[in-house]
Amino acid sequence: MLRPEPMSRVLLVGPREELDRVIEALYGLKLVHVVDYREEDETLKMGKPLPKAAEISENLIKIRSISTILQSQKVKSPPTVAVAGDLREKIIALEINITEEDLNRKKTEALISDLGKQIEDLSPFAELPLSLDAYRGYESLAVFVGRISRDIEGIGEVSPEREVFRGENTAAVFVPKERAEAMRDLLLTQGFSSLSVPDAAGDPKAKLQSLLAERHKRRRRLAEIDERLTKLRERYAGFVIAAEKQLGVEIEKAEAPLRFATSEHSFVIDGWIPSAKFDDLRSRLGDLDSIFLSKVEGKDDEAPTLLRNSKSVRPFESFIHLFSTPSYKELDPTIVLSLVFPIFFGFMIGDAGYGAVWLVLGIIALRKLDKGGFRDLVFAVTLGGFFSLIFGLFLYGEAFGMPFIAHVTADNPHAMGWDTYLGIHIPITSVFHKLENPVELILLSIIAAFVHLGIGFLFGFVNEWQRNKKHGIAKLSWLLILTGLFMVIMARAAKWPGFGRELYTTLFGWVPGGGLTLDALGFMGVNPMPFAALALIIGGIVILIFTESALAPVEVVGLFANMMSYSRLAGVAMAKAATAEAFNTIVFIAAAPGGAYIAVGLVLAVVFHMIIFFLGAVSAGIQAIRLNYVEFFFKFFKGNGTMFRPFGTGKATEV
Amino acid sequence: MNKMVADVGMVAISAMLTMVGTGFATAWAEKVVGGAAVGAMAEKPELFARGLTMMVLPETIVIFGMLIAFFLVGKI
Repeated sequence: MLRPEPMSRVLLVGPREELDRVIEALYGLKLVHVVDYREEDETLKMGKPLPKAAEISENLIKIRSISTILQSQKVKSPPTVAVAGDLREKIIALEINITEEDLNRKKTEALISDLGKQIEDLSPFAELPLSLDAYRGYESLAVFVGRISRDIEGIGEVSPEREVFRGENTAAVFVPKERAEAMRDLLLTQGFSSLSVPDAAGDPKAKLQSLLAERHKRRRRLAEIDERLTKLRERYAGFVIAAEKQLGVEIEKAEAPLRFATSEHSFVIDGWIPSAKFDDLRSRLGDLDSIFLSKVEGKDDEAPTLLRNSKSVRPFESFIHLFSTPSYKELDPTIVLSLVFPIFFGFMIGDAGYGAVWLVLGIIALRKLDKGGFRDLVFAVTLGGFFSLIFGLFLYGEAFGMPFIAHVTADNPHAMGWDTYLGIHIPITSVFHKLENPVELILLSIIAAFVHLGIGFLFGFVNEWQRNKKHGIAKLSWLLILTGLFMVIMARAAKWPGFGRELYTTLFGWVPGGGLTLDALGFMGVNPMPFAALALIIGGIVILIFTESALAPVEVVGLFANMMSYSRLAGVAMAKAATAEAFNTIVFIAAAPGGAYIAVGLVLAVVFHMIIFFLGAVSAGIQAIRLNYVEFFFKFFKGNGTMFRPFGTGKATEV
Repeated sequence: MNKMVADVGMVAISAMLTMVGTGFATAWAEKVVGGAAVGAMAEKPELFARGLTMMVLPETIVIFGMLIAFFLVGKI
């Protein structure tokens, strides 16, 4: 639970002719994390891929290109096809079939786009009553053809001799060459944009008709080709996907020798295996007589990490790997994370309504989702939803931003609540109200900080103690300082009668020895800074100087900041509560006139609560994971481990 | 009496200024570090842990700002 799976280093030595069978066996077992062989010497070289690797990768390239052309991933649920027999023959047959269609399609597409361009160029000329030959071949005339939407004004003044032809939005103007310059200037001022005359000859209208007919024909052709390709896709998608997968497996096997050491006649495979599984490996390889298998002494630093946690904790492992894979020698903090994350999340959301919705939605989603990072995230948030429900019911006594029982006071006679505003009586009183008890919430956050960071230092102690006793003791001295600081903060809070003082008396009332009064910082006669706490802090610092370094005490300030950093728990809770209250107020104002306005209020309520629901979860989720990553992990976590990836579970090799 | 009201006002303004100043300082620093960290992470995703460490360091500024503001408001 707290330790990763114990690993043993194994060496597998055998003759090269057995390599094929050993690879098959290892691939099937999926138990050995192969250590890539990199240090070549005279006798042992990096292995070469099996002879069949070249053909397999060629097939893989072919099938991937077929897959792209067919867009086989578009088929939602491809039929599962068993791939057997000679893949190569099938792939080549399919390739010939498909590449021809693909080529046809590309050609037709190019033709259609070419036709489109021609049509676009010609269509303005079809509006004019002239043959295409009429626009060129003059010695003494200048021709202007182009688009213009309005009448050309003042044309008579520029050139009394002219001929003008008009289409709907086009015009062709013929003037004597000597007037050309002046006419161009005039046309430019009137928004004329000139067109180049197509190279063709004859009647543009007839030509346009034939081009349009041609394009229509080609488009029908394209549709036919697409239809055939769709049919091919439906027919072969299952095969293509299965073959791609199969070839991916084969290529991983065929290229595996690249990771092994080989000499002229033998091979050596070096790897790690979960110690408990060693016998499985031995019995599986037992029928291969010529293989020598043995456990060897391995350095723990190099062992890969396989976290082992119970099923309900495992989804949180991906949060750990996201940060960094723990090294083999470290404690695995997953179990702590799996408890703390949902509790923090729940404390921040702290609302029975949102909590219940998250819980229900989460359970529905978990039934449908496949394994993977996203499912892990949903699992974490669903657990968070459960704790939100618990905190919402028993600590804050509220749902959807409204307390079950309104806190009516003289200052606030119209306090909002399920009973006062909706007439629904739910007999759950709130212990704290998020907006009325900020100090109490901050103090609860600080208690969380003490517990969480304390666990962190204990983890740190265990991790360091194995390596270096002195550093282990340093972690314990940090724990002393943490306790001292916690006492100081609690003593400061005891200045206020009520929760602060009660909390201090309950937690530290038994500590003898009086304390120091410091009026400036708020440590009065009733709540002096306890000498015991000072002793813990100073004692811790002294030990720290001897075990870590003379500069280490500077970090005490940082630890204090870490503790205060947990007040974000209270902060997010309050921010969420304030937003919810504001939105609820708007909803009730909107619905107040009654009748149809109630519907308006309902719509607003749904929209507003959706906003808080998602925004709240995002901010609470981020803050909850961050407190683990930064404040908690930095107390002990080194990371930088190698994840245990047994041979046979790798992703398909890129070719 | 008036002098007292003025004093309370000054304390409140000081607390406000502390929060504003440290808030801006933190935001500024995190903007710079965060941009660089995300850039580095895009290249090498395994830098996530280190990037996050750098990213949240400036938060200390605003935490102490909040503490000071807290003490100041406590004097009102």
